[in-house]
Amino acid sequence: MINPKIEQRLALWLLKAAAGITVMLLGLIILYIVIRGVPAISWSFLWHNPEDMGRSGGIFSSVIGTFMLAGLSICIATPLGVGTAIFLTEYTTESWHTRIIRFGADCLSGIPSIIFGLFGFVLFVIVLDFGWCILSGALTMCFMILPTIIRTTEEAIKAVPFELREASFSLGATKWQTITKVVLPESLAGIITGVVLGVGRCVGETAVVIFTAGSALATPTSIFDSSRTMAVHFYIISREGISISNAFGTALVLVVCILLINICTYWMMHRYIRKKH
Amino acid sequence: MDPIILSTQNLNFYYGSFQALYNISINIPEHHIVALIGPSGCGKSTLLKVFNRMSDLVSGNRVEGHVFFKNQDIFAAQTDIMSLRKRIGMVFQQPNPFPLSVRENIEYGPKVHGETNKERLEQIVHESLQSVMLWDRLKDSLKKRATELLPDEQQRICIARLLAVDPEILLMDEPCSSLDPIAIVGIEDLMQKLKEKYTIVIVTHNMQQAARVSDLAGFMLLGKLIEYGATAQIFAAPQDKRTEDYVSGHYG
Repeated sequence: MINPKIEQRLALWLLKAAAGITVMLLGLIILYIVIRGVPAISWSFLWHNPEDMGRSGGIFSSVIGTFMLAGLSICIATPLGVGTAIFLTEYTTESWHTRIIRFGADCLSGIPSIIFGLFGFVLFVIVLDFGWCILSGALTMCFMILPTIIRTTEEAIKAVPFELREASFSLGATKWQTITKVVLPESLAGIITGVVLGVGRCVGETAVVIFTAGSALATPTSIFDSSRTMAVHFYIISREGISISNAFGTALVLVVCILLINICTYWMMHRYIRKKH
Repeated sequence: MDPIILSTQNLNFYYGSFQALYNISINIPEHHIVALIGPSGCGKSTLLKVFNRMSDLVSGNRVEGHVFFKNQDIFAAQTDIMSLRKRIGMVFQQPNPFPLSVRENIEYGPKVHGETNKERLEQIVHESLQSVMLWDRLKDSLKKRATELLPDEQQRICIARLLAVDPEILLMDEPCSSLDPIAIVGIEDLMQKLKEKYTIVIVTHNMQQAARVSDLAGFMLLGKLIEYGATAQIFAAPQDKRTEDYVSGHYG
């Protein structure tokens, strides 16, 4: 039998090693992308559309396409996801109905994105005849990120102490007033986390976009235009060997965008919380 | 004799199949402090929660009998529960201010009931904090987060938040259980002051507190109201052996 003190020390070292390896892997990936991507970055790379199928030119249209697609997906998925989570936590008691909804959401989150892509292609592109466009992509992406938003919002709402709801009811507030004035402001940080996770998934997704939004190189001007997101652009130009240097440049811009979105969202959230308190 | 503001007739209350209250009949006169005493699990808090239908928040609850507030049955179909809770407010065992500023805590109730006039809200904040003797201490820090105050101040904020919606009855569920002895004295003095304007029903484990603050006291045991009468009589000359055993410290 191992001495408990040695066991404790060993466990601590193993846990530290696990955390260290995780951070190191992340650092290595980012470092590799930065080293390979920086030479491709220039003013014209950021502000010009791709030329010659991506061999030259920039990635401006892909950046716009990425933001439009992710933005639209989030705009559709957030009210749906937060609404479902509020309904499940505040308006239902645990029953087979709620268990089925939760089980459905969990199953949805485990489905490979290519299946969502195929489903979106059949439903939005063919049956509803939207064609390959940002709207088809955003609606499909919405299905994909909904489970994340629902589950994180549910957990955030459940974490609000019952005593606060009780205090609100005891002052004569309705359930809806209690939800909007007490529960949601208190659970905002958790809800934002779910939304940011959703944004990350939208920005990095390829399979769904190829099937539903297409891969047009022109700058999209409406949600009915086809577009190629940065992740898809990276995939196509690296997979087809068009320009590895531009592919890493695109990857670097993609990573920086995700980081900026996360930093801005958390900054706004903390500002809101500070202002509130 | 002051008019009866709140009363129950043969009240039975169930949590699912468990019966928590048995045939409770009690009359609570206006501008009195009524203490409900008894050992843990005897139904004091349940009875308190029935008075303003906070008991509705527990799923599977069932009520038999009647509860009258100013001669209106609060369980009648036409009862507006939100309006009832505005008129019969509740203070809880643990201070539970919202994680908002002092001002926002006090303004919460009036705002949910539709008050939008800034001057009126300002006046309500002033009057409510003055009623709980916190105005002088907090008038320059109304933006301070209420959860950062001392426990005693937090509980006073909860009472002030309640007074802001202009209730008629204050239900207090062991409001001093998490406070230190000095803070308890402060809250008890406050109750005496509030009695002039409000009717107070307090649940307490502390028999000395019940003896000090209340005009009337009810002893409950296993969901039944064993004895109810003037506090002095309940403590000095109880009619029921079980009450005598409890107040003399034989159990509980």
